[in-house]
Amino acid sequence: MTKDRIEMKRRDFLLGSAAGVVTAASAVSQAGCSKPFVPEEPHRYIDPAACIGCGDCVSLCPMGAIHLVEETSSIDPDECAECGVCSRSRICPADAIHPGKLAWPRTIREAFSNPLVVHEATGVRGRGSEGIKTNDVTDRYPRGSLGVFIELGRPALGTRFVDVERVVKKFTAHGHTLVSDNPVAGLINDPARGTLMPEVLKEKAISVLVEFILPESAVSALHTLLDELAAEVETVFSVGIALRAEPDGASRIEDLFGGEVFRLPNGKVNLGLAQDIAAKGA
Amino acid sequence: MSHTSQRRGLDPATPGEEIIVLAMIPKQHREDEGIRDAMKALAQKMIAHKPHQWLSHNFIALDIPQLGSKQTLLRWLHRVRPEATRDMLFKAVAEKSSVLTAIYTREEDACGLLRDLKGFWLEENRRKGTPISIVLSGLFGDIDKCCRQTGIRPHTYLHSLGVRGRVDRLPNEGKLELVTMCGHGLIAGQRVQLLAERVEKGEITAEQAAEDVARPCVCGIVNQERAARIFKRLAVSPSRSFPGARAAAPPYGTSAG
Ligand code: SF4
Ligand code: SF4
Repeated sequence: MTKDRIEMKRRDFLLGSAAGVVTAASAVSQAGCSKPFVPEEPHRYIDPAACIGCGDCVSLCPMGAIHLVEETSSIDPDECAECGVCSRSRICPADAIHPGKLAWPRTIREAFSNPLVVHEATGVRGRGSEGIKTNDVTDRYPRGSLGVFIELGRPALGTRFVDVERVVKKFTAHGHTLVSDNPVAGLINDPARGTLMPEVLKEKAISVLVEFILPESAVSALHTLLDELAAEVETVFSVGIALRAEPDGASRIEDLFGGEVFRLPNGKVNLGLAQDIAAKGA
Repeated sequence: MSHTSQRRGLDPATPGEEIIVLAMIPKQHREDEGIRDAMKALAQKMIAHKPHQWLSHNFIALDIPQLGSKQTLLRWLHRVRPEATRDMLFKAVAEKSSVLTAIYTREEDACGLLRDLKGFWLEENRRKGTPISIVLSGLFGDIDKCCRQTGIRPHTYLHSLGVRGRVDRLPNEGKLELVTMCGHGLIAGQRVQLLAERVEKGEITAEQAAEDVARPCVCGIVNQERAARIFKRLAVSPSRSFPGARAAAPPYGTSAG
């Protein structure tokens, strides 16, 4: 579509709304009703009658799920992770992007990908535990243990739950169960095998974080597990390791994993400022 | 900020580019008496030490149900005094939320905040029994320096062992530096590409591109100062892997790399 034609359509749209010669969609929105005029879809969608083909929304989608074809944009429902970025951006001049009416199991896309949505689908709030953030109070990772975080789909690619199942199954087979306060725990149908409900496997999320707590002695087994998983998954995963500091404040990461292991020069440190307060109040 | 630890592009050769301070009320203490006052006092101190960023610029436009009618009032005020409203919003968030974050781009500001917190604020928390955990995110060298300066001893570490699996499908390292600034993964690689091209053509400035790329982030955790620097480099050579980026997302080990 040429720039001129887009401008023409944009102008028509604006003039149409202003003059009362409105499309059905704008009539509905002017009446103060948020319902689109087209039948509600079971996923986020673009109303083709309202879209003016400006293409402004296309580059915003972190999953590359929006495509502009012949002057109209559409969302590929299979690739969309229901993160809500396109809608929240309010970039669409025609108000053509609609949230749709999601039903199970699609709701888990939104629960895992939209940070403003509570995890009702899994019964657990947030994307994971408080992790190291409150370890000075919870002592979730005492000395001698490792918190292992595997974040599937991060960065940039997104993940299907079939890959999440691969990770949970592998760790479960080696005797390491997923922590119970992780949202994925609500999707497991066989805890002994670490399998997920079959209906969620094809669902997609921008990222899914799973967490295991292992004894320090499991480090070499962990190397093997991660190597095997790296070869099996269809996406990427970021690996994080939580470690209680030594009494002098140092980290044992190098002692445990060896100097050659790749690791980023940045990370997070809990400063322990709440430690004695929580202990006193307990 | 769950995954600021997976940010790419921070380089020990250029220390002090960003230190993120995150405060959290542990779940079992969210209803403790006096804990909200401690959070409000903390918010005040965080702002006083001149963060580069606290809350996203579009925070005012988001629907945060917990803020209730306060949100309507603040939206209205925002039209008149946007910057002051961000301070007020931050304090309103402190009253309701169990998490506060702020980005510091000068080491002395972050260390100054810690020094400040170690004084009266921490004493008050001790006296009242209101525990609030404080976490720093950034280069371990920067964090270590702040800890030494303030006499604080690290309690728990979170290290990143990088990315594994289908790393062949990832965008180039320059893009990753920007994409990983949002821990929820809401920054699109193709948006970064488009903005870098517009900066290159001189249609927008790197600062405008940085503001744009930060928009999807609901936590306000994108470091726009660093983002602008990255855009300047990307505009010069979009596909280059930057020296500061460390080897492009190598996994540790050898398989499936
Ligand atoms: S909801 Fe997210 S993934 Fe789906 S089309 Fe919009 S931006 Fe893309
Ligand atoms: S959906 Fe809206 S923003 Fe996207 S191309 Fe159509 S009119 Fe433009």
